[in-house]
Amino acid sequence: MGMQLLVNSLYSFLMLALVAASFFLVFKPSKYFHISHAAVIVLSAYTFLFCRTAGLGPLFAGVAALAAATALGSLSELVLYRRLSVSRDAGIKVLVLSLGVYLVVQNILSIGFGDQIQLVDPCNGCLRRVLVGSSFVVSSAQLGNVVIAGTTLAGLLVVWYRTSFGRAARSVSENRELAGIIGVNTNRIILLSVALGSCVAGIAGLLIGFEVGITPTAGFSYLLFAIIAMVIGGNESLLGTIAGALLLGALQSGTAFFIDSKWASTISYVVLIAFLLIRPEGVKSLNLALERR
Amino acid sequence: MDYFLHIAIVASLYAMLAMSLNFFSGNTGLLSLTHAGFYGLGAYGWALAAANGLSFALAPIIALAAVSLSALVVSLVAFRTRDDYFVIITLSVQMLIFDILNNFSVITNGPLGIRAIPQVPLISSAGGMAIFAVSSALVIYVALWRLNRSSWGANLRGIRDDELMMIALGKPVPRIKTITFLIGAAIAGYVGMLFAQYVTFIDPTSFTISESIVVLAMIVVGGLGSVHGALLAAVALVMLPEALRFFGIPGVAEGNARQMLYGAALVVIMLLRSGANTRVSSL
Repeated sequence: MGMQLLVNSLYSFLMLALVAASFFLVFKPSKYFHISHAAVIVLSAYTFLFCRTAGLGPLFAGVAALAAATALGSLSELVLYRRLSVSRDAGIKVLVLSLGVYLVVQNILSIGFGDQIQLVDPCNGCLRRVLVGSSFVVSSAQLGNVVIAGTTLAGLLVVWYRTSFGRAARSVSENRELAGIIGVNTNRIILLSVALGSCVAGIAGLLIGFEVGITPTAGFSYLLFAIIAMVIGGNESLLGTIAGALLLGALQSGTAFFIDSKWASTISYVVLIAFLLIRPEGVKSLNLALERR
Repeated sequence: MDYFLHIAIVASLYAMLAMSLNFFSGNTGLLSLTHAGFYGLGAYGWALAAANGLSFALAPIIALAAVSLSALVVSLVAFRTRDDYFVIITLSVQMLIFDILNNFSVITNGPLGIRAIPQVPLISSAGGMAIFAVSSALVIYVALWRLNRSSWGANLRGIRDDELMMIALGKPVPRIKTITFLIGAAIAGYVGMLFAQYVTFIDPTSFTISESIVVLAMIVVGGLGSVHGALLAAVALVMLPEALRFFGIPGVAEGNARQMLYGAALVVIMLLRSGANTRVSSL
């Protein structure tokens, strides 16, 4: 029983970390609450579905899905958000603008595909097998997702902490003006980071579709989970955000295990509200405070 | 004829929602996304109170008290934050309210919703409801317009432009903000009651985050802070999809097409007002 809880927590941690990291890449350098990230997540799954029903192969469908997600994210930045970046309260304006983008995309998907839950199936039911371990049960979809999500996360960490793009993006996140002064092309770095984040969101959307299925509005709760993980993790670093996802994953699996899975998201929203109120700086400074004592 | 009554009712309901959100968010510049939540709480409060045999005099009081109380709690929480974080926190409250309506099946009957909501005799017909909804909207319009012109409205705009200065002037800023927020939420709750009366069947999907965004779109299109703008934008944005219907847009996707249109309106307006010196308060 405890083993199952551990496995569930690990799984939801990896999925949440993936979504949270994707939002972190979009949010951190640009500082925009890009709400239509929720639409980016689901767009990829629906693009995959669309390509499959059109008779295209799973590999092509996957590439098309990620391309669609990347395009939606980077075009929003390039065509819409960038125009507002000069104005005084760009943050809130971009937020309102992205709400509009979200409504448009979500409703196009609703009209095109309907509001019911749809499973994304790359291989005629191969994901629906149930694997029974000695003291726990996982589905083949979950197993595949763990591999993909883990690899993607590891790749992201390398890109963010070990490449020149990552260094530039971190410097823009820290201080955009200063980064510009020392010769970083801030607009380009933001666009690249948004594109990368959107692509990762596309991967996350596919994985969600593989396991629990997708609805046009499903992206919204994942977006909020990402924000929650970021806030818990101290709103500062990619590693912190992933740590936040670890806590949130454990909390959600615990809620699902001991109470009921339908309350898992509710508890998460309560946690976000509590953190924004009591500890907007996240758990990181909590540790520091303990150390100081 | 029933079709036109229906449009009149829907337009009045949205107009009241937009005007009440505008009263708080438009004047203070704090954009709340919890409005559909309060609207839903009003609808559920009324439906549950009336379905459980409370009299038609008592049920509205219970419903409005429930909405105001939740709004009070939300304001205590949300007013600690500003700007985009205020939006995010009201957004999570909206998701929370939806979750409670959707999951707390013992009380709310979950996704199945509440059927057979008792009908108040005079407004059970479409005609009666239309007259009642339109006159409610007119009363609220005049009331909010007067309030906006009064010193209360001036205080709100003062808070928007320079909260610190208002505090320095000795204005009870937290109290002004809370009361305004409560008035807005209570009106939304009232609209929810009318909605529950009109459709006689409610389920949580009428009170989603998308609905909150739609109302926000209305006040952004109408110009934040403008009562006339909120009224006109709400009526226009309800009428526009109806006009499109005559050009053969299928009715099945009507709700989606409408939300899409509102989203597009939001995008266009934000781009038109993207100048470097326009502040969100003067959208």
